[in-house]
Amino acid sequence: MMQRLFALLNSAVTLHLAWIWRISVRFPRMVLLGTLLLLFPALWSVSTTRFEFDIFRLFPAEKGALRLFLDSLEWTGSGQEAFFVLEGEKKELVPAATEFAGKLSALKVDGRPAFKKVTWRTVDPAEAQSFAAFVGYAVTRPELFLTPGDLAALKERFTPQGMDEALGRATTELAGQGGMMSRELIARDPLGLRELILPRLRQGSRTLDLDSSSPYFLSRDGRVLVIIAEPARPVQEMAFARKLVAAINQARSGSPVHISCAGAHLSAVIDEASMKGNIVSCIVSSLIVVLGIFYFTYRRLLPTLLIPVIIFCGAFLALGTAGLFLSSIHIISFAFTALIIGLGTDYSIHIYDRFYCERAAGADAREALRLAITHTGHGVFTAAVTTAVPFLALTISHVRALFELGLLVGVGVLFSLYATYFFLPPLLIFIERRFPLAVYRPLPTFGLGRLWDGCTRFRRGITVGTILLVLLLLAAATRLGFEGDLKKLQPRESEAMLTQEKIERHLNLSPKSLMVAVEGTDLDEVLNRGAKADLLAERYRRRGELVAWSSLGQIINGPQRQREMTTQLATLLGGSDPSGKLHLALERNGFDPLPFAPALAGIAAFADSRINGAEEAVKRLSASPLKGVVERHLVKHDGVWRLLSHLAYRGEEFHRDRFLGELAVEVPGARVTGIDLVGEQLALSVRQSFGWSFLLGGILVMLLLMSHFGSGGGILASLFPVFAGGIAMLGLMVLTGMKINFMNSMVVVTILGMGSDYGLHIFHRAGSIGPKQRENFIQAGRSVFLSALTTVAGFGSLAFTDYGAMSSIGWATNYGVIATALFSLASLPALLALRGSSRKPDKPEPNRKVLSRTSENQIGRG
Amino acid sequence: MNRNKFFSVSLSLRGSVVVLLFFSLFGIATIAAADPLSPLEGLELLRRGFAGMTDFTADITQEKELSLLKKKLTSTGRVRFRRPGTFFMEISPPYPSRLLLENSDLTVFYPAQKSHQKIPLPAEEGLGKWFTYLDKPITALPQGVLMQAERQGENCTLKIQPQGKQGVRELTLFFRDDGRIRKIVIEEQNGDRNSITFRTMKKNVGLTEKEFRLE
Repeated sequence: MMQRLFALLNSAVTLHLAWIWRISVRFPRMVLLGTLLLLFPALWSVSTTRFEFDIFRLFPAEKGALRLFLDSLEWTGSGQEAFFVLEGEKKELVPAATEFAGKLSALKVDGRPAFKKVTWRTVDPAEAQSFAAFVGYAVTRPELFLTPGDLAALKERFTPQGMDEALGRATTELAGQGGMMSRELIARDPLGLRELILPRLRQGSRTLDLDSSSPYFLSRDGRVLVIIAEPARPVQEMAFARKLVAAINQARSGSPVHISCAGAHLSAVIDEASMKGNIVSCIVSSLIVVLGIFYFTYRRLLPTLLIPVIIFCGAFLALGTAGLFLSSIHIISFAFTALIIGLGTDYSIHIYDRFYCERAAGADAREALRLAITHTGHGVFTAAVTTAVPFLALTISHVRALFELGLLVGVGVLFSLYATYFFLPPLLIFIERRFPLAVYRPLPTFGLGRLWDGCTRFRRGITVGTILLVLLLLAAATRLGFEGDLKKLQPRESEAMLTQEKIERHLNLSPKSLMVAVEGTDLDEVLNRGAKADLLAERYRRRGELVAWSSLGQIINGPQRQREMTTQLATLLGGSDPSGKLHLALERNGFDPLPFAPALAGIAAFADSRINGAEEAVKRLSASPLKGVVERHLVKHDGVWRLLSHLAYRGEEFHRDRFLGELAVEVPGARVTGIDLVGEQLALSVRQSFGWSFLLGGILVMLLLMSHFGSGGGILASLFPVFAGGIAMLGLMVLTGMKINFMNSMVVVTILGMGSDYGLHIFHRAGSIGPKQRENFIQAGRSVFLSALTTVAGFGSLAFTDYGAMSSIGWATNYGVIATALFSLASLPALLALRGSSRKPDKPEPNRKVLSRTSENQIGRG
Repeated sequence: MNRNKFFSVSLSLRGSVVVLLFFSLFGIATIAAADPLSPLEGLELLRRGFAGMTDFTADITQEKELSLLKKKLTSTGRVRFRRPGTFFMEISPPYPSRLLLENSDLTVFYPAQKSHQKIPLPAEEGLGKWFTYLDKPITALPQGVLMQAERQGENCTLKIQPQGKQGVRELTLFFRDDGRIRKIVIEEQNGDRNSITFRTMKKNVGLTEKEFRLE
């Protein structure tokens, strides 16, 4: 049943190819017209498609750590901020920062301010009034801002001696050059209770390892100063981002210190330029190399010039087709279309090589062309479909990276194949008429004859050696690690990336962090649940597993804590009158109590056992210079409060999974994110999608090979090199210090699709034992060798790009393609020779006319 | 990213007061005054007094009348200046504090508490702007202030009134016609008043780094 179905399929393919040959030779103008009819709608489709540069958009982000991570960037606005890192001597940094911050504040894009806000000092005198107002509010609400541990110090402040000391300090401050700001603070907080509150605020907002004695965002080593600026418009507006970066470059030119930038705007612009530059240089250079290889081998100009046309049609129609399904295409997915350069050339190589060989053997032009299209073309057809199918199988994935890659390359391969089928025959007919060759000189063999001789002579040794080598590389491959750090996939020389690294190196509290989100519509309830998460975090900090943590709960108390505090406060005061005591102390120390009336009234309310609403406290904090603490830890979005706690840890000493388990029990519904968690989520989603796609693609390839060969030998010959090549690729990655990542894992599909072609072609031509086996091997081997070379030139050249993701793809491709080609050209002949030595020689290859009648047998079964 | 302010600040100084105070000390050189004295001439006197000076030191007596206090707060201390832009002011016990202004960075140290407060002043309130202003002869009055000058014998008075509605209402400089400052009075919008009397001024005494140490 299956055999009959496969035979039917083979017949259909043969008829299809014969039809293409007839149409392309007889009606070249119709071919041209049909091509244009396809290209015009593709042009429209491509022109309406935009390119994405954000690496996170390559992965599913509907839920999990990545969703929370992306949401938090939007909620807190930190995804939009620009960071400027100034490096130099400490004495130079501050004046340079003053000047540069002034320039940034004055910067305009399209006649409007470029930044909403430029922050470069931890202390801003312009915010002194609002700070004093907040202090006045906070010091009269100890139940809201103090911890139970602070109550003893608070009690001490209200003893006669404590009050006299505090007022003495106030007098000293007044005697200095404190001016009006000092007087405002003393009037609102005569006892200096802010000294109990401010350390808690400092702790609650501690996110960077700064020099605490400096009023600037200065690193402890004094060599790095950070300025933060909030651009006026969102990062998605690339036109604005480009102008902003240009304006920033102008503003920092001539600075006495080195200024580098990071942040979404800059990263987007630089990454865009970097990626475009990489891809364009890769495409141009690889095209030149590929055309050079083709011309060097065949010495024919017009077929060489046809290759870019075929590649363009393949890539452009693939993009146009993808544009029908997608509104945007990620630049990394687009980079994979570079594969079409190599693959599109392969089909021309195989068909033209056969045509040339047939002409050299004495066939006339039409017969040589018919054999090339319908016979070798059949092998090329199967090879192209086995390449396209694994890629197209990726479109079942819900991971955008895999879907786009699969669609673009799968469709691109098929369009390239058909462009070759339709364009090459009329061109060859035209060349034969206008520029006929007097003599078809032998083509370069690239030493393949000697290779065949050696491999067949030492077949046992090579087979054993191959097995040992594959086992060795397999052992190495088992140690292959996964690279989940997305930063390593970004451009290595990107200024934004390098600047981010500087910030992490000089200013980060710890190398790793987690963010816990507790959500709800009632803020008080959210704060109460958040307090449980805080308690858990504190337990881990005390055990030394966390370096630090910060939360709004560290700054203001929730209702439950406030109730405990008011009870303790009432006990502490014991019915005394703190306001009255302070009034007397003020009199005693020469102060006029009248300006202190608001402070005295606030202190009189200590004994009221009041519970402050959290929203009021948040509002007061937000109106003060401390609003950054609120913005970092609390967000109201779509009517839902999100309380965000930030946990800093170093590495393995933090038992993260245990923490997550305990958090799920103690604070049900709390969500967690962090770079590691995001990496793990992405790895899992890629692995799942990839697994299904790989399985589906593998089954389809097997069916195609079974259909094509109808025997185990051909299937084995096709799959052995690719499996050995795949193992070699993974093993070599380990030996050269590489890891598998979200991007280069896709190369496995590439190798599966392309690599099976190499064995397939060798088995076609050299699988049959006979007098022409060596000659056929040289012809097929030359095509395979050139295919591998053009693929390495076309896609493997990505290895030398600056973009980490593309570079890893390039190296993995190079390892995989070169290893598969070597196993096809060296190990497969040895295996064929071993098989041949145990069998009788096959019948001699039929003559041309017989061959033309039994095309399917000759080509399909070698 | 930490964007919070004032964590270590429980006191802030009005930079403009300090700068005006510093500005008023330029006129310690012996310069012949013109007669009659216009505001522009008064300012030019001070500027020329500053020219050729690399440093100076002086003892001070400060009297503060503040709305928070029932009685006048009197203290003594000293001031020091060194080019290009370092200013130091020390108040002696019983209210000890030290202030250091370097360009636009202001640091206050309280020896009793051993605590520091650092405040970056706006660039326009730093010393750099005033150095630029005083580098060349003054041909026009500064913008944003009203000025009056008087002369009685060898004593001159220059009143500077910033036009803003907050902070300093009036700064009065009392100096001799040889440019030597006698007294500065700063009055604020809320009625607070600060009077600083200068004694034993010495210029170009070769002040070193250690004279500007806070601790």
